[in-house]
Amino acid sequence: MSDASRMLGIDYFLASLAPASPYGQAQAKALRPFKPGQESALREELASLEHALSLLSTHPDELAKIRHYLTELPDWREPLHEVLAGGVLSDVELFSLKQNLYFFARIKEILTTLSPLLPAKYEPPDFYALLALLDPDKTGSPSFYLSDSFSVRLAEYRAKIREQQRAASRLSESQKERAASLVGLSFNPAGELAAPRHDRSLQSRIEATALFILSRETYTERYYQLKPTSQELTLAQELDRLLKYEQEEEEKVRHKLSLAVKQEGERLRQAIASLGRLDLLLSKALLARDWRCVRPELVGRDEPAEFVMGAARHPEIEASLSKQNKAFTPISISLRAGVAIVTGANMGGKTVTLRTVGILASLVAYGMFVPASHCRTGLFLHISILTGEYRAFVTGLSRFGHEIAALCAALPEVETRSLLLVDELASSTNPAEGSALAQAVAEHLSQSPSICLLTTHYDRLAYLRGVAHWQVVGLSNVPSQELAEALADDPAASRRDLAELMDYTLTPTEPTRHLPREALRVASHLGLPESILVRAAKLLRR
Amino acid sequence: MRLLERIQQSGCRSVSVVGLAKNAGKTVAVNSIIRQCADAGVTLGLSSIGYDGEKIDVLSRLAKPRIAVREGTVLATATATLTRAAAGLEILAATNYITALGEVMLVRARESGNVEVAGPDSLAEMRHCIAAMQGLGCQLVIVDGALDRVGSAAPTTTDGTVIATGAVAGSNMRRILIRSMHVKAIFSLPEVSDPALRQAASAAVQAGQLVVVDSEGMRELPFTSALGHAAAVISYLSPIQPFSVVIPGAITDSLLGELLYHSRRVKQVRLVSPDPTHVFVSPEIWQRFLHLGGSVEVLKRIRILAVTVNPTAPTGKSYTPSEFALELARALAPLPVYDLFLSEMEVPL
Repeated sequence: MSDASRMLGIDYFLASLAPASPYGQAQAKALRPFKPGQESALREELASLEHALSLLSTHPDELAKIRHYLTELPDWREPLHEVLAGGVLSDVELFSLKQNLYFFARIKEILTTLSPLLPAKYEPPDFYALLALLDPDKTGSPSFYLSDSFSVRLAEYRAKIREQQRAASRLSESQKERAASLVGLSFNPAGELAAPRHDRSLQSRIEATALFILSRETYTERYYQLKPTSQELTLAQELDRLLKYEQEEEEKVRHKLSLAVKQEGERLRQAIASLGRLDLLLSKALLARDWRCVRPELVGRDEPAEFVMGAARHPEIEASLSKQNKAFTPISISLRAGVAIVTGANMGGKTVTLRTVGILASLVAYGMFVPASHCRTGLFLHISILTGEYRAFVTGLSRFGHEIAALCAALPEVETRSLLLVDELASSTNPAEGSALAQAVAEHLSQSPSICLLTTHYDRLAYLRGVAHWQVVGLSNVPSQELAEALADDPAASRRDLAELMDYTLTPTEPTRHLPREALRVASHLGLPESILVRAAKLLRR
Repeated sequence: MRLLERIQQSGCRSVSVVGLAKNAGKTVAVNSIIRQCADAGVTLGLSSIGYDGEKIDVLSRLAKPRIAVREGTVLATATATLTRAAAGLEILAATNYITALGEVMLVRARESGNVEVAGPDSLAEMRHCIAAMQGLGCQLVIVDGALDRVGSAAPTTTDGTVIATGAVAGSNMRRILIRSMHVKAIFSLPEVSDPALRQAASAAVQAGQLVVVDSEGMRELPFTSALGHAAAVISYLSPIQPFSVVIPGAITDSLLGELLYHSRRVKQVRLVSPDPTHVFVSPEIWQRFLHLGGSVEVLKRIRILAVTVNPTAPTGKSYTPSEFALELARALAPLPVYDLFLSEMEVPL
């Protein structure tokens, strides 16, 4: 996964999907975002998702049952591949096929009871004939056995084998009995006679019968077993032959079954695909419910680019905040083609805004609902996020170099309708050049058909014409005195207080000459020595 | 009384069979129980855990030994053993437990014949397989426990245990007797009776944490294993009070040896182990530890139902069967002893 998809939280979304079956998991792995031009397919997907979400509340038990059956499905893609290539299925593979068919039928049964019905592409075809073929005894159970009913010949061989086995065991029992009474000893459970070594006369009596062979000797005993008679040998040979026939016949049955399965191969593939889709759809619906998502409104390809979100939450950040018993402050913003900037206090959630815009746009592209009160967006060719995350050891570039290289890569993408998110544009060089560079880039981007959202601390971006300006309310409404009171000795506690005092709300702002200065207040709050702060304030006034 | 009757009388619904050495006659014991179940009409479940070395032939990757099952017996065994079974097998369910021989499947023999059995690799999986076989209607489940580390802990998965011993267990009669009696003694270690200690020990074992409990309460020790730290453990403690040490891992000769070094303190020590299969000590060290007043208690005891003996070793060494069995029966009394090579009835004293 790329840095961008990790940064935006797409990885988190994909990991949270957790489909129940191997087929759904395979489809989740192959999930690709919809691109501009695929709006109608996306609309269909979103409609299905809405449908599934409503079924979750109207038919919760049925959907839970389907999900349970999906978990039970053994992965049959590999055997299907083999059988299509002409392979012969083993008993275990036939068993897992039968399990698949059994659960396909159960799932299909439930699907037909849902109202309204899900579209046909989520429903597996039926396999009555194949299932009947695999269950000739009509047991209705998902177990598998190559029973006598698969082939008349198999039944015949097996009957003969049982008969021969009984005959052989009767014969050997009667011979044992006769031999035992002849020498006046009894056989041990292993079918041996034991004669103490010192008892020569017993040994010669045993050997004189010519019925026994010496099977083993120890220091103290000699063990004898009955010599098989020619009748027994014939029976044993016959039995061996029958067992071989049985095995050959079983293999023929497997071969025949495999051919029948092969003929159904295409439909099996369809079933696997439908159930994978169904599984993925249910996983999305469950996630949409958990994340309290709404269906996004889609902007057409021929309409001007637009991105609006109301009370939006970033699911990954929200989850990690909730672990610390904190709430995510929902963010609202509305953007059009061209450039918008977000300004405001440090630690005011500007980067979170970028990530939330990015994940919402991405979720829509993945055919997913979004965690917000409402959302209106189109599809973008690219969604890029440029952050100051500096990884010199990977790129071999300085922080500034890294940023410029990423910008160079993103600029051509912006020529077609894309979404570009840039955190602290050109902030890692000297402020004079950095702000000039930032302004030039912003002016360039403002001509593009894409939506570009930049966070910045540079004043000069705030009064550019044609640039929309959003400001984090931050600490500006907090009276200085209250802020001072909140100042604790413990830096960790200060950080917590700061988070509580900080107003993360975004407000649209008119072009302005000067951005609010809150860096010193935040720094003081975080515990920077007073002397440094006083000196900084003095320098600022000059 | 026959072995099966013994088992039935005990009320145990699952029984593990473990051997003290290779060729101690474990397979003979398992086959005998199968035969007796068939005669008595008892629906049997069967599985195995661990590798005997001989259990999987490294060259052919075949599981050994072959066991003669009867029609109706349920097995928990890996897929690779199914194709080689001489008996027709109905595949009932998959378990999702993967082994070197494939996934463990629950199957029912539809014919009598020889099969190889290779069950799951872990004790937790084995417990699930036992429950699954009982759910399929098995009145008795037999677990063949191999000699390796996992297999020899098989008794912790079952209600009762049958121990197989024999001429292979020692180089002379005296050693065989000592070895067998020692295993009996270890397997019969008592359960922790003090409820407070029991609770503390369960938590410590769950967390894999070494813990000392004395009258002042419970203290976690800063080591993961007691081994090499016996002196440190002892230095923690008051010189007069008795104390318990909960050891989630193995209790070994080296550990007891370290404790014996502080011989005057030993009588204050009570070691607490999860179960007897965690105690790997030699008879000599064990005797000295007991003699100095040390004790070991376990959270879960093992119930020995019977001992089977094989008077012959494959090396050729053998004893007069009746005398050998009688000698062991006397030493292990009141445990019933069977020489299943000789008879299905227990050895009369």
